[in-house]
Amino acid sequence: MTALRLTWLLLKKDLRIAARSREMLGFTLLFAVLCVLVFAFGFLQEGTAAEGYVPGVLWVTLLFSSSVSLLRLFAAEEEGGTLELVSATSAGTVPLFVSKVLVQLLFTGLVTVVVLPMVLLFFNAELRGIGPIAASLLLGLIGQATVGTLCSALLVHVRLREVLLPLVLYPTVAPLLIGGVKVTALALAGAEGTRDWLTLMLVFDLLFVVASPWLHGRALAR
Amino acid sequence: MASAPLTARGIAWAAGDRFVLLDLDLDVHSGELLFISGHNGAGKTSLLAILRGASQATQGSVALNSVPLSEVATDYLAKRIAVLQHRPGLYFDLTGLENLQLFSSLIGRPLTDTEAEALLDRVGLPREAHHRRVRHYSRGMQQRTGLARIIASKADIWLLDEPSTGLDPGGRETLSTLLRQATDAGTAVLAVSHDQALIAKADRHLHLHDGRLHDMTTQQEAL
Amino acid sequence: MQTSPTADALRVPIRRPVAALLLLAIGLVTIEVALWWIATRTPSDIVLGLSQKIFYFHVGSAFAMLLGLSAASIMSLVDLLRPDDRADALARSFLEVGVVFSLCLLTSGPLWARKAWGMYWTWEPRLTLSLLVTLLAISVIALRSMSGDSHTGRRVGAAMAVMAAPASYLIHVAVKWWGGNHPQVIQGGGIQSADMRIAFWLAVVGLLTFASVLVVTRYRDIRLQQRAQALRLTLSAHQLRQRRA
Repeated sequence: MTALRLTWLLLKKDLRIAARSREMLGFTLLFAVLCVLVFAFGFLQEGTAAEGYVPGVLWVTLLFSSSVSLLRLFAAEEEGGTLELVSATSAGTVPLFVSKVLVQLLFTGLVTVVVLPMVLLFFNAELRGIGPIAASLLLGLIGQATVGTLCSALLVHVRLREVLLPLVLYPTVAPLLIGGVKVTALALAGAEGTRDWLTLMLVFDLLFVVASPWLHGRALAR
Repeated sequence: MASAPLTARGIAWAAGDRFVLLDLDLDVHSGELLFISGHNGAGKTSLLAILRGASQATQGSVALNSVPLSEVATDYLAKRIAVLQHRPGLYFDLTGLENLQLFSSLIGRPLTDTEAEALLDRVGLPREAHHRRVRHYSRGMQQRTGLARIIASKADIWLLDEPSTGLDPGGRETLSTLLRQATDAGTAVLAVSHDQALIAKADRHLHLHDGRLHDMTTQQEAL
Repeated sequence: MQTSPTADALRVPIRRPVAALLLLAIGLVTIEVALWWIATRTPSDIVLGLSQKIFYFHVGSAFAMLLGLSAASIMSLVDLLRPDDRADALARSFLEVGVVFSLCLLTSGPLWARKAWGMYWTWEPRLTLSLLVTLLAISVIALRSMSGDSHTGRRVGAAMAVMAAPASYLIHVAVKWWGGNHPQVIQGGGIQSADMRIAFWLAVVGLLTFASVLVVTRYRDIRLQQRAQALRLTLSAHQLRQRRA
């Protein structure tokens, strides 16, 4: 059986489980909304929130809520003891890894769709430069999902992983965070210079899209 | 003498700075129903993990048809050795039927709906449960579904950890019938269990003590 | 028959740490000479005054951290590709010593910054990079020490150390573009006099020698722990066999 078909099988299974335990998606969305609110309380000055906070609030909210879903990414495997079974396919651990990245992307994508308009609304900003912003969000989410899935998979059997995951994930994805915030800020201000940052994010993604499945397979090899 | 597809030689396994298994030899024969018993902490579960290649022994080696496990591809291993652990190896938010079809497709031995239904019937899972989520099953029903997954894998070596967990008397009867059917078809079955009634039906009974296996079969016959 | 890891660890030699002691002597002498040179021969900065002299040990620590953490990533990669107790022990030693020097860096940096830029912390690229990388390295060390000698912990830690290497490079690029005002001493012609150059290299060589003393010592320590563990296992095997007889 091809790797593609195995990946599809595993992805279909994850989507089915996600649809049946919709609470998880709901809670993640609630968390993201709450995150934006908390930031608003933190940054609100004299009754009006400043537009300048939009990029930071947007990206930090996305990062925080992505770690919420990452901590639950392998929950179904752990509960039923199926991790060993889905790791041993004819294409190795790659189908498992790719399917989990896609699930995580779906989760964070949905969160983004909710959070982006909300941040603009709460912070009285007007959406300008939709092209670069969309590109940065796409690159940022792909990179975060890939590195996040790697960290989550590596830490499955590790004690205290709830604490360790952000400790390892946040420094590693710092380039995406910095790049995303910069691109969003520049685009909202209608300024030039987003291309370099997008290139940096693209390089990050290319590197980790290749390296992560390999490291995952290597680290979990017998 | 039946062939021995799975052989372990000189196995040693340490937990911290203490050996739990030491100088352990084991041949798992085709068509044989083999039971291993032992006290809590004697190393039964660790032995099963070593036999299926999930953990590395501190010393010694395990071979599948004379090929060391470390040289066998994991997907081939998954086709040859089926494992039932304490957690049943099922997705709790999928139905019994979906679980069965998923895992058989993953190892490249897909089942049709009818085949899967027939299998669940065979392990005695009530019809109405086939399309319910495993989360709502009782422990015994989960165990039966896990057993169906093992049968569906068509593996020729079964490693079962406490297979009678949660089963009612009827379930244990079904279990021993299924195990016997499997060995009659040439499957090698190794089960870790304390269940005396089940062990009584074994072809061979080994007791794990002081890190080694002791043959209890003859003593049992004497009783 | 595969060789057992226990038998391998039992052969870890117990030697006098001659190399470490020799390096320690060289390192101490070099550092003393460097201190003396910095104190007596190098000029004070017109603007910064004496505080400029932090620079010599600051850069030396940066080199030691960079080399230590890079070597840790490389040895982790080696261990991932071909598991080997020595590669693992080296990776851990390099990682820990790298973190020691990154802490030196993160202490001396702000001290300099207070004088030079009027504040202890600026979001200057190299400072930010060092902080992020240090946090990553400490997390990996924590992971390793938490999981003891477990097989999984070792491989997971190694994978993370490998992951950290390309990430660090990209973090470096990102924080550099992010804006900063670090003195470009190395690239530019910041070192004016021959005396300063001598002081600089004395400090670098001294600190790197001292760093290698730490690595060698820690490596020996880990290897001896592995041997001690193997001996405990041998004893356990002996006791178990005796109980059977």
